Amino acid sequence: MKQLLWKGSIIITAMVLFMTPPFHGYALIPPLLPFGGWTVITPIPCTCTASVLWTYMEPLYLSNVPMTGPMTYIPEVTVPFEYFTLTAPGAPHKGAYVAGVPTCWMYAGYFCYPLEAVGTMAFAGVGLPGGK
Amino acid sequence: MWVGIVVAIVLFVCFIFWFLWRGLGGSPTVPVNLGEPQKVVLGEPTDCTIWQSVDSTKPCFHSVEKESTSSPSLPKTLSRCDGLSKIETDECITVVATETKMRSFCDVITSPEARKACSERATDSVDRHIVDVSIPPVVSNPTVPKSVPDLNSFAQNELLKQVQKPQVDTSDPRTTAEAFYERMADKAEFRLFQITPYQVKPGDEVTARGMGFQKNGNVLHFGSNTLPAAESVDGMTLMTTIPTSVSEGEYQAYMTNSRGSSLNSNYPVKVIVTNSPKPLPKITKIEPSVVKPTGTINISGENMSGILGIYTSLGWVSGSSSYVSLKSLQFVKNFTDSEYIKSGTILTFNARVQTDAGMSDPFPFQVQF
Repeated sequence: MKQLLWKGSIIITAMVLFMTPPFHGYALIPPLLPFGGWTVITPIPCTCTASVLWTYMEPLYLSNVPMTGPMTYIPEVTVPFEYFTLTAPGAPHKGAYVAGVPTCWMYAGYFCYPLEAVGTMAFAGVGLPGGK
Repeated sequence: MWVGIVVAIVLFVCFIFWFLWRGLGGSPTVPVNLGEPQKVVLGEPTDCTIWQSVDSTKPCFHSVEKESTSSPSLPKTLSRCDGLSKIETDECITVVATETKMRSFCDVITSPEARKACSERATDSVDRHIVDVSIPPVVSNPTVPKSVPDLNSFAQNELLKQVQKPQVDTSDPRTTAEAFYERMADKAEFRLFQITPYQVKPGDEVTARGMGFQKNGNVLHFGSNTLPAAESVDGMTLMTTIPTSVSEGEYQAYMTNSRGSSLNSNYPVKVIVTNSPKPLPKITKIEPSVVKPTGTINISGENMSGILGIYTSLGWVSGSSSYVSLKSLQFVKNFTDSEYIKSGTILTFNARVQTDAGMSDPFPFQVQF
């Protein structure tokens, strides 16, 4: 009887282990995340890619907790929505960004170095400067 | 006794796997069949007729979905559109109508074109907020009837997951992560910014960073050497190995692919092949911790001899000094001249030190404007 219980326990354990559903895999591509906030400065052009602009947002909402931080805008990559004036100082922005991707690079004699940013805007709508 | 312990362990293991399985979404999803199904719409907390929680910040369920298309009695839902300009109000109402799938909200819009667009979007919207659950058939009282059973926590969590998804217009193909990376590979300026590490030993792996890299077919040119690079998933980075046959020296690097060449004579990217790479500088402290825009910071750290320059988010200075007067940085005026930065605001920036070994990792410092 004791041996039967042992064998039964082992079989049940093995069944549980083999019946475990596969863990979900995620692609290497990071997802887009929502953001909103106000740009507060005249944007800074990135010297290694003149078209890319680096701007500072204050407040910046990545959740319901306000924070501050820089964001990058790439004209060829970021999709603008109405009113299309991305990085205009004082304008509210709302859209999605890709986190942790340095896209503003400055030249330093032998190579370029990244200006850190919270992320790169993937798309954003813009309000009027000073607007809500 | 041993049998009891073994059974307890098995039960515990079963519980753990059941818990993990449930958390990964492996269980069957709603509908929850507790009776005759009825549509229940997730609404704003102020519109709740059935509360799921005493926490007013959590969503709730209420039975507002009706077969008739009569005007909904939910004016509070549109209260978030108050105080906006006309265009913004129309857009806000459209968003609410789309979210709630209540086309009749669009009737509030005065502009015929905007009203038509709103109706179309509300009709076409993905039915993200509706699930079939069973509740007792009569729920006309706006308070919670005692007889209404709470939805189980799993059904509630499923709804919460749906609500917490970013409110992205999925009908626009430009608003996906895949589209972003496609644009990064195909539309962004083709540039090579940096090879890291700057000083590399033959046979070591290096990372090339830039923009406009294709998924395949990128070639890294390294002096007269051409190195086929691995695939670039994000259009911005790829890795390759420096052959052991490469002799020591300074090389200019650039990339080629089907889009052309990244070679930019104004901003050459260099890399040094050496059998004895120097250690990178490392910043350990920046004083003071909070500085005024007219102040000076002092940077200290390891391997800092032979400083070539200091590079910050506010600009850069060349020279061997570890002191930086913020007034001398190129972009400080963008902040001090801004009418949108209130006096006393503290913002965080980064600083790096460059020596002939390369550039340090960034180190934060704060400026009070």
